[in-house]
Amino acid sequence: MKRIIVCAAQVPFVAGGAEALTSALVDRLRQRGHRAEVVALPFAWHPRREMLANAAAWRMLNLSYAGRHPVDLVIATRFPSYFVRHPNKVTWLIHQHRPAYELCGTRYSDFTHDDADVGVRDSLFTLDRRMLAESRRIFTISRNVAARLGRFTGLRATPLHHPPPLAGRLAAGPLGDYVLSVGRLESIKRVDLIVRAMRHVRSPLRLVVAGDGSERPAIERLIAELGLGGRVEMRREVDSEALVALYAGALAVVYPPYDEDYGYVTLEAFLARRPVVTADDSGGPLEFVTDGVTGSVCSPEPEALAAAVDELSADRARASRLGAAGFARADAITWDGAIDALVGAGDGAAG
Amino acid sequence: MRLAWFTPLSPRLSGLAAYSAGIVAELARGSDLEIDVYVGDGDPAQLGPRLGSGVAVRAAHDFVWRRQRRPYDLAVYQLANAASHAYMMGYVVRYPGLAVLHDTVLHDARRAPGGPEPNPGGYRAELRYERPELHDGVGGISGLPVPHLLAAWPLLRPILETARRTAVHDGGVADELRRRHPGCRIDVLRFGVAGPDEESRPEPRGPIVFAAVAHTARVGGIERTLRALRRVRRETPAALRILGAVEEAARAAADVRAAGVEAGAVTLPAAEPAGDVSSPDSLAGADACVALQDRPGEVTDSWLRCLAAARPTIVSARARLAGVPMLDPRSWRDLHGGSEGAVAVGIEPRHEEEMLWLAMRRLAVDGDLRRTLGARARSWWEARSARHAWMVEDYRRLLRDVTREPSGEVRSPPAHMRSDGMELARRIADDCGLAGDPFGLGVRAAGRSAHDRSVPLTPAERPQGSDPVARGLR
Repeated sequence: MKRIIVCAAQVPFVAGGAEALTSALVDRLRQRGHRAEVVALPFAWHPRREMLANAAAWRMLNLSYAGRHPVDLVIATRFPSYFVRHPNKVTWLIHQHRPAYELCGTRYSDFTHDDADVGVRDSLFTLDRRMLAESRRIFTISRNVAARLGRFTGLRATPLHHPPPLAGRLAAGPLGDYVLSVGRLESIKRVDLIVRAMRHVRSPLRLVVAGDGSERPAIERLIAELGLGGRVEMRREVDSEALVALYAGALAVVYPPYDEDYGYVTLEAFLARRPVVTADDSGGPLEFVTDGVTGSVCSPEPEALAAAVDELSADRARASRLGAAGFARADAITWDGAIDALVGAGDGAAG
Repeated sequence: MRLAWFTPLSPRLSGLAAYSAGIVAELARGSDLEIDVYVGDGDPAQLGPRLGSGVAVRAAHDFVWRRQRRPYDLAVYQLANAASHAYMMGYVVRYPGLAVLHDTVLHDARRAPGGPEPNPGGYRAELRYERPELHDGVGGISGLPVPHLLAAWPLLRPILETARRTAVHDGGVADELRRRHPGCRIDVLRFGVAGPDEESRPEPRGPIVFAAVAHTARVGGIERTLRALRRVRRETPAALRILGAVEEAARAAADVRAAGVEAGAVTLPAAEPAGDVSSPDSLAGADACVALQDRPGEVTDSWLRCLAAARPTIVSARARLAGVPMLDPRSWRDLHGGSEGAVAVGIEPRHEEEMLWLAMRRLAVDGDLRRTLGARARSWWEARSARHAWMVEDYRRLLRDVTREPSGEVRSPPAHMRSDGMELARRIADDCGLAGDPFGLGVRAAGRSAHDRSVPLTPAERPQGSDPVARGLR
């Protein structure tokens, strides 16, 4: 039995994939007999001058002891939780501060060539590299995140996949008359792209959008502008039971985010034996979606997505085959492998 | 040697786009130079291939992390006073290198969209740093921009004081900078411009066409040329073709309307790169060129390209061109009293309006004068500026020398120009008695206590096996 702290950087009032991961990780560690807790600090990246001060809050912490008892292992996750001090720090990297890295220069980042922004990025890169390099070992949640880390910092990391939150609850139903979009409604998820694609979908399919976020008003306006009110259904409050049912009844899941870290949606679709339509710049999903094998990979254009959806609609047997192939891939991913790797990486040090 | 080279590239229309593309390709050819060209916008993948081997085009946002991963021997900044150069202003002081000045006023570039964010406090600090002797007046100029006031605050000082070396293309400009900024290292790069292999200047079949070049800066001066054209057209048909950046087109259209010139008599900047004077075809339809440079310290290659194309030119008779034989359009004698055959028509700033009109009027009707000036222009260029190799040679020398020199030291730079984003963290650490070192980066060399065990000394990049993903699989 080890005492393990999972470090989480939390954005108050936001629950996404990172929160799901830390929560599930602690549950799994406990199931394996460890004493595990989440230590979370709030993180804010605005205003920019506060960002590194927020990161410094982690640096102030020494989690070597909990009361009088030594903490055997800390598992850091996303920026800036890996700034924490501990002699036995293992990082399972969800992502760095993306707007300063791979998103910089895209419409998903507001970093500019301003003196202050250049200065913050320079400091951030230096600090990230040092703080991460302290880790006894660095894992990432996907090959995509490992590749980014290598590109920007030169640090090597081992990708470590894990099951999505709904694993074990998903099941296949009859192929339905809708395609499904799941995820937070944020610009980087490109749900607007799926809505635009529906204009070009010839088969009599609907689109069900499950999720909420800051882009909801814009997406609703877009649906109205395109006259798609009868074909696109927005589901705001979707609990896990309803989501399982939506996966089960869909023809396919359309998931074309921009450079996603990992993408639970892909794996959840596969576990419901549904093919996934994604884009060739979608990042994480491309680790699982192989064009013509487990789904479709197309350019991030509405017409291309629509054509892929129409193909699946025209040949439902093919849709089933692709979904089944996806299931085989997703079902091979377990928590056991991830827990063994994370805890094992800390062995031989303290504890 | 590994260089980071900041410059706009075509189709981002700066007068320097072609200049930089040419010099970079030439420098890399057959040398051990490895050059990363950093652009502010555009798709690097599309811009890169034509620059040849040894040169990669990259987004400026990638400079910081690429530099950390593999440091450069030198950063080179091609600085001019246009919006297309704004993006490099956030780097030039922080990462000092060789600053090649094509203008001695950078105020517009420093404040242009795409450059540093509006920061009133920082802006005032920069103005104050530039002209400390006018400190008391700085607080009262919040109504800027006022073009002619901006020239008094060129926002050059931090760049000059920090640069490992500053280079200009004109000896007079270098002398003036040395006078104004004693102690700064200013060098001269000889200027060379490639031109067409042979003189090619067809005779006009219709109304004479003037080409207006070197108008890409915000303070372009095109309105004066338009007013002169309007006067010329009262007596003889003439047309004007404005060459410049695409983004200038809207402003130029407004200038044409304001000057009262018939729209059909003026061709606006093209929406294609061919609209730039650096394009080989851009002067094909022009019979004479107007190259008025507004600021004394502005040195562009536009005028030289007109000479290379054997076009008669009307040019500002700035001090730095004192050695160039020019005709005075009021008397049609040598402006400076010399005896050498004139190669251009010179316009004195004080009498610009009148002299410009006189020059355009004569060139519009006098084919012999156009031919004579055109031929002399070409000869002058061949004798003095045709040797692109001179410029390449000077660049090679400078690059070699500068990499051996330390950076300059800015004595008291405006704080925001060196901000590292950790100021607040340091203040908080100070409040907590942590000596302003919240990340513990500066205390490693001291003796270690047991407590230090939590901060490993050696950042390691340990091999971690080659089993991608396998650990997470059943």
